[in-house]
Amino acid sequence: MKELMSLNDAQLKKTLAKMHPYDIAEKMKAASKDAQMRLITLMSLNKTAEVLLELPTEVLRNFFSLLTESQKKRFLQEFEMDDLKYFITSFEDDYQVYLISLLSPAKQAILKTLMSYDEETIAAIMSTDFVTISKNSTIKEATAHIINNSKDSDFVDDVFVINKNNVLIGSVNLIDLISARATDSLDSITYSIKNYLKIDDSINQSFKKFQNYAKNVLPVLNDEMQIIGIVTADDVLNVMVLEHEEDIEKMTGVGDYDEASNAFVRAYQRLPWLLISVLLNMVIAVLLSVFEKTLIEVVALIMFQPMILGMAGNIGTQSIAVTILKLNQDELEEKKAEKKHIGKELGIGTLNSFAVGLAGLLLSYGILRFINMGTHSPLLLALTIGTSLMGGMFVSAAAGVFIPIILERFKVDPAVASGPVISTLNDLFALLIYFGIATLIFIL
Amino acid sequence: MREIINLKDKKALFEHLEKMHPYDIVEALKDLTAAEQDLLYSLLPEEEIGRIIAYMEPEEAADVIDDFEFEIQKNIINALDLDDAADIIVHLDNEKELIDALENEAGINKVLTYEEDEVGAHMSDGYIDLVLGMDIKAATKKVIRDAGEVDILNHIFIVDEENRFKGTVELRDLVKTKAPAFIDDITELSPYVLDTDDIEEAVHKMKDYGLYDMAVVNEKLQLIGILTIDDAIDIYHEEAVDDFEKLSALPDTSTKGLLESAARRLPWLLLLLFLSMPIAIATSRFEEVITSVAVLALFQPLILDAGGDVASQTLAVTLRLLAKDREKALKNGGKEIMAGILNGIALGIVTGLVSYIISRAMGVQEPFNVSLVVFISLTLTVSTGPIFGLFIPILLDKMNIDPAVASSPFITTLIDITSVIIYFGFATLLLGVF
Repeated sequence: MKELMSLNDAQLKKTLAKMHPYDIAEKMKAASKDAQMRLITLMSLNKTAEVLLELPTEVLRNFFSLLTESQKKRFLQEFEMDDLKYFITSFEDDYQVYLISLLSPAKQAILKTLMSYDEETIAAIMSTDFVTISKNSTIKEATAHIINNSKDSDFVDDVFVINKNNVLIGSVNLIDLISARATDSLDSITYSIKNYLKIDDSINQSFKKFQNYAKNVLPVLNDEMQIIGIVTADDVLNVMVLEHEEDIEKMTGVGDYDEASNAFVRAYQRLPWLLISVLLNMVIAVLLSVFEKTLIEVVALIMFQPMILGMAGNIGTQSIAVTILKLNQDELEEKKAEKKHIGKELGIGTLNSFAVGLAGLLLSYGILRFINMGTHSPLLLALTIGTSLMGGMFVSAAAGVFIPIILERFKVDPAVASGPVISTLNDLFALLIYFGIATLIFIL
Repeated sequence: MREIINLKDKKALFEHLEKMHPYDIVEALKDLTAAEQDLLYSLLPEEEIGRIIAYMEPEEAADVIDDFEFEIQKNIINALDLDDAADIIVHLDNEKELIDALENEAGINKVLTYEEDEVGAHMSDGYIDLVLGMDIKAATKKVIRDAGEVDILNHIFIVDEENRFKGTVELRDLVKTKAPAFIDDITELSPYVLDTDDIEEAVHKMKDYGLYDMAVVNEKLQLIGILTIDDAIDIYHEEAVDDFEKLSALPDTSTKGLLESAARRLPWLLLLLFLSMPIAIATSRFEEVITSVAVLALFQPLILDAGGDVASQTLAVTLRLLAKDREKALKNGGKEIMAGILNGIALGIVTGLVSYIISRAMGVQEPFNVSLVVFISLTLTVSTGPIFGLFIPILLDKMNIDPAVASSPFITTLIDITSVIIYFGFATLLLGVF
């Protein structure tokens, strides 16, 4: 940043023009208010718009509020439609209304449609900055149209060919268009399009199509096969990264994690999850106090309590993770696939609970032979531990399959399943089985 | 399609397939018998076969062309993108002879020397480069001439006389710029990666800069290939599934059969079972205090759970940073440990109070001391949790082991051992059973 600020205005202007918006934004984050303003005044309008989009929302809002109304108008005009939507929806409702009123009527209309789409469908991330040409154009007309009529924000590497009813016929590569002779027909360089997205495709379905077809752009069509938007591969990558990070955050209760936030913010964001977990555990402690007599009598039980809880949790985590992974990739849409998945996971749960239960029985017997607490027979204790381990693990594995599926059916994010409530419930079942069996064997 | 194949009409078949996307062709092939597939390949030109097999899994693609004559194999591989060619060629029976015969022998050999997690292993040679100082008209001509060689053209890569990477030109800018002008005028600085850089970091870089293609350079900053966004999306998808699986101690989920899946997950579970045995042994050392204050057993799960939870949180954050930027992971650690201490104190106070009330209600002797033990142990375990979540993955990374193997079940089990010692240790001290 220092190097940049030491340049004079003319030099700085030239350097900024060559720099990538992301780099400028990275430098601006750490800069002083004055330095930020200096950079902004020296950048072209569309560059500034691109740079601002890379900045954290608060900085962006703050800067935007400093502009005059006419500057604001010019600014909003520079955004691509999908970015514009992202920008405007980051403000409160009444300010959104104000911002929308600054737009041209045509953009207002597009924006309203964009904002009306369901968050889960591809329409929510599509952009409307694409170029269409009529199928009756000549090569010359088409080229001229792109050079003269496309905006900087438009995606032009692929140009979409439509008929007079706006129905999509195919697409033309920009490079083919340039390479074509003036006497060639547009039709001869038009690829028919079989790979497209439908307006109500889910985001996951769209990701799959991108992966399968390895394209930089796919058109989004409505029921009449008219093109209403495009989705570009860079946006897909962006959303993929965001969604994945969100999933991991939910799984571990990290909260809305941001690298820049300090220890206090982090502690505050994570505390609720931890607090719920601890308090639920307290409830369990109270419930299980009915077994106090068993615990006093068979004190060795506590040696293996963490193991039983841990192992039940581990097998549960495995089946939750597989199920969420499948749900996220839309692989359990069909009833048949769902049934098959449940059957398979229950099978795996049974086999592995049995195997680990057996191993637990042998291991604990081995340990108890040498190190025992209290005076009970190691064999009986090991039997209690082994069977409880089996039971606890099986219940947890089963819960790991059913709970995410049930949550999904009730339109709750299945990642919640890995949260504290479910894992504490699993603990409760595992301990009920453990102390229950112990009471049966040693007390009654 | 079946009809056309059985007619053996080369021209009709080619025209039919040419309009189809290779992925759809691969899908359609699955419905054909082996004999029909063989017939189909025999009717197609080599380049078209190359276009199709680039969309198969490398092993399948290798199976398809393994039976072909050497000459045909060579031509097919020559038609492929460098990274695809390298992926497929290692699965072929006559790998060595074939490589020797290739047009781009040096290129393939180079790609094959990279590790799977290095950028070089994933780079493509499907790009057009221009040398600085070229005039716009000549540049446009060259681009048009070379365009047939690349599948997707978004940026043109600009180098100097020594092939050092200087920046990129957008195709649209080239078209829009009127002569007289030089490409220097429209060249923009663009990010690049080294061939030996970590591929996951490179993908994040592409994402941050919103690039469709990114230059790959060697240590002399010479342009040697590009990364394309379709590969980046594939790589990221794999990374994401991988993260998820590893974070939950789940080996590769792509297997089919029940027995096989169960068998694959079992070793992890058994390992964790083994790791939890020291907990039992450690616990037995505190027999006296546990015998005299049995209620301690009831509060034990909550202390262990809380320690494991905070450790997994730090682990998730650290793993993500390690994939993006190693330097940051350690710097970020200070904040994580601070956050752990803050939460440790907060949780300790709440739990201490609640456990006091519960102990009173249950008529435990010395309820104050019991809740004091709970308070101290919880504060300590929650405060130390992030240290495990931070240093274990960083240590593994330094040792060149994938840090994600330190899944949260693994770390949770380790923390259980220290928590048990802290908990019963303080209980022994404070509840005065000597």
